[in-house]
Amino acid sequence: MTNFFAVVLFAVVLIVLTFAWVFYPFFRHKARLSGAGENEKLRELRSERDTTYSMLKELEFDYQSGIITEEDYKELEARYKGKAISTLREIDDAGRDGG
Amino acid sequence: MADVGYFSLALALVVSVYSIFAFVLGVRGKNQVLISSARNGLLAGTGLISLSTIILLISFLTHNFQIEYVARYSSSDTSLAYLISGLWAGNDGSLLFWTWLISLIAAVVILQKRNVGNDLVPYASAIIMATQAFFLILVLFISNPFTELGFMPADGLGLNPLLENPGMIIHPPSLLIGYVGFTVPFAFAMAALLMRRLNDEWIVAVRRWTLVAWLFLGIGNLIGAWWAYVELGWGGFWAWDPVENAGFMPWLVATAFLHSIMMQRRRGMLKVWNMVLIILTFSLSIFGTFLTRSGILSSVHDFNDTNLGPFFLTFLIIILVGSIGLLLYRRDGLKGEAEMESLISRESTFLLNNLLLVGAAFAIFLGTIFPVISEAVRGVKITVGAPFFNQVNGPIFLGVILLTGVCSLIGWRRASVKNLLRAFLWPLAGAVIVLLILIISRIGQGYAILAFFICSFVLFTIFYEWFRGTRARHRIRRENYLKAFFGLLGANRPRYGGYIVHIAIIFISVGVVGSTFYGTETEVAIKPGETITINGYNLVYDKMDSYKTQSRDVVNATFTVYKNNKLVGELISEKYFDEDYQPVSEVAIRSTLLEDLYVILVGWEKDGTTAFKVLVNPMVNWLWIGGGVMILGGLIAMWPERQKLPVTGANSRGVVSDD
Repeated sequence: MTNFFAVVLFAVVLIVLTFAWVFYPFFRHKARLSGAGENEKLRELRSERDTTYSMLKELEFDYQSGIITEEDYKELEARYKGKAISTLREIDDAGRDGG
Repeated sequence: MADVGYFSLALALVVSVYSIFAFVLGVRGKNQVLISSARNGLLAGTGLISLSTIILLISFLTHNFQIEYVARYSSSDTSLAYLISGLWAGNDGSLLFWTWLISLIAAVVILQKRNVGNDLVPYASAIIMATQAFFLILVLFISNPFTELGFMPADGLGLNPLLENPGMIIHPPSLLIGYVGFTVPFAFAMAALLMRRLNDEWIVAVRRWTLVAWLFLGIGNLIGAWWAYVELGWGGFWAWDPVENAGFMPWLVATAFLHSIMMQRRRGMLKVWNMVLIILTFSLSIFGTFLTRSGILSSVHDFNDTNLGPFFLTFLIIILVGSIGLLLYRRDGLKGEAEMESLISRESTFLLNNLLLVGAAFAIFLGTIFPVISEAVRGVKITVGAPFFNQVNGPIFLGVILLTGVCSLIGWRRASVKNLLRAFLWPLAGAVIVLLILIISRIGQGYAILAFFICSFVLFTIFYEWFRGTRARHRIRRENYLKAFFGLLGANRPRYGGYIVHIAIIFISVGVVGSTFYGTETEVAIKPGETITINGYNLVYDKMDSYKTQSRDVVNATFTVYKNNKLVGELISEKYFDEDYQPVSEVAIRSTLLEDLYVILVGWEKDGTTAFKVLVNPMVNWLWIGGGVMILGGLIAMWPERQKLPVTGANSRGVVSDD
């Protein structure tokens, strides 16, 4: 019987602690709408920028290691650098618009 | 204690279900407070499931045999390590262990600093919570590890003696971490589809998770092979058993995924294909669990008497229908940004490699489920044996290995023939020299020689690529060659870590080919004093002994071993019988880099005549060495790269890492 009560007591404590922890955010803040989404464009642009940088890095490696010819390297480098510059411009514009 | 463990799981189910809805409604209503609450629910779930797991573990350690699961998988003389492994030794415990792993992974995902502010995380967490809820339902209502017996038995039944092997302490958790780990990339992929965030954000978030899961699954498979080799006593390491295949298929598809996401990152290609691959990988992980626990196929790994099959099948159908439906719904947003420009390009070799890997997985899938198909169609269960798998997969894997070498020497987009010839000249020359040596050595087996030729070609391409990179770095940065080499490794860890993994695959392939094509074996019945001769070895059978331990009757045979008439040592092969008189072989293995001498004690007569099976398995050690190299390469590939410049704001031009 003592064992039964100990289990019930433990269960009650567990329930109270669990739900206190789960619902704690409702008491800590007033419900508010998040600003998520307003920087979505910016995030996409940054992701694009990182991909282009990574591609440039890989291209440099391939060229230094002799995997691609100088002609291909120059053509691709110019293309990726152009893309990077236009992405950076867009990031700057989006940053200004976003305040 | 058992009641507390069970109740804790029930409460975990409640908070998991709450978290699913709170995450989804929080994102849809852009309500950060609700998302925070869902996040707390997820963490509470982790805590509660951890509590249950700890309770079951304590029950093992304190020999609480009133819990049926503890009584079934341990006894009072089970050692500490095997008491801990009891947690995953049986069906009920391993499902709890699986659930615990999901909850831990969910907590890591939500607490990861790099995921803070990632909008995909709430939806991904909801999907992980849904998976967790499914497993909790199974543990609570079908396979409860806390079921109590109505009495306290004097002792437990003890662990199956075959499972008392160090490999069994690591093999199941490693496999399970692999299976469970694929939940994260799948969840992020689905989150990306649900939120229409179809750029490569999700790919960046999951690359390292996929690598971790892939590495654990690969190592789990290898440790399983090692266990079969040293413990099961049949002389081999891979039998194409349905459950071995179940662990191998998601690994193959995940390998394809890890390569094809590079195409998406670099060229914006294969977006739909990547989604398909991760759906397949996760589905195959669940399929593996379905195979082990449904009893539809007979396997040495079966968990007997479970009625979990229909539940896993339903879950699998929901996953496939839901994810493929979502993929079709969003297909317009997944159009590629570039097209294949040339057949001779890194893209085309990656694509071909992908197709071969998925093709191999499909062939293994067909072979695995063939008994079910044949029973459904013709009413007879026809099992497909190892020859089918070897014949179909051998050429496919050779193709995969060859392309592994080719793709590392070809640039993206297109490669000129002149450049290609220059890149391939030295590796090809090296491989031809190896080929000539093999032919001159008259080792025979044309197919194996072809395989060694391809393996050596790939190995030389990797070394040559390293050499060229090191030389370029030495020239440009004026570093000495050693510094330039390590600098090269550190500067692009995913790439060079990947190459180290490729070397590991070569080692493993050499082990498989060597032991498959050049193994020899003999079965003899001899008396003490007589000799077995095989492949230059002379094994003098000295004596047979027997002794008793607390729980075993052990019989052993001692040999003095000579190689080319030089004494190399003593080998003792054993067979023991546990309390249920189940015979278990403890094979004797003398292992070198070139070959293993493998002695199995088969049986004996009253007159002293003893039957042995003796095998010489060449190159087997390269499998295990390959496993070690694979871990090294995997760790290097997933190690975070330094950020060269801090990212400071909207107009930052920081150079960031690959992931």
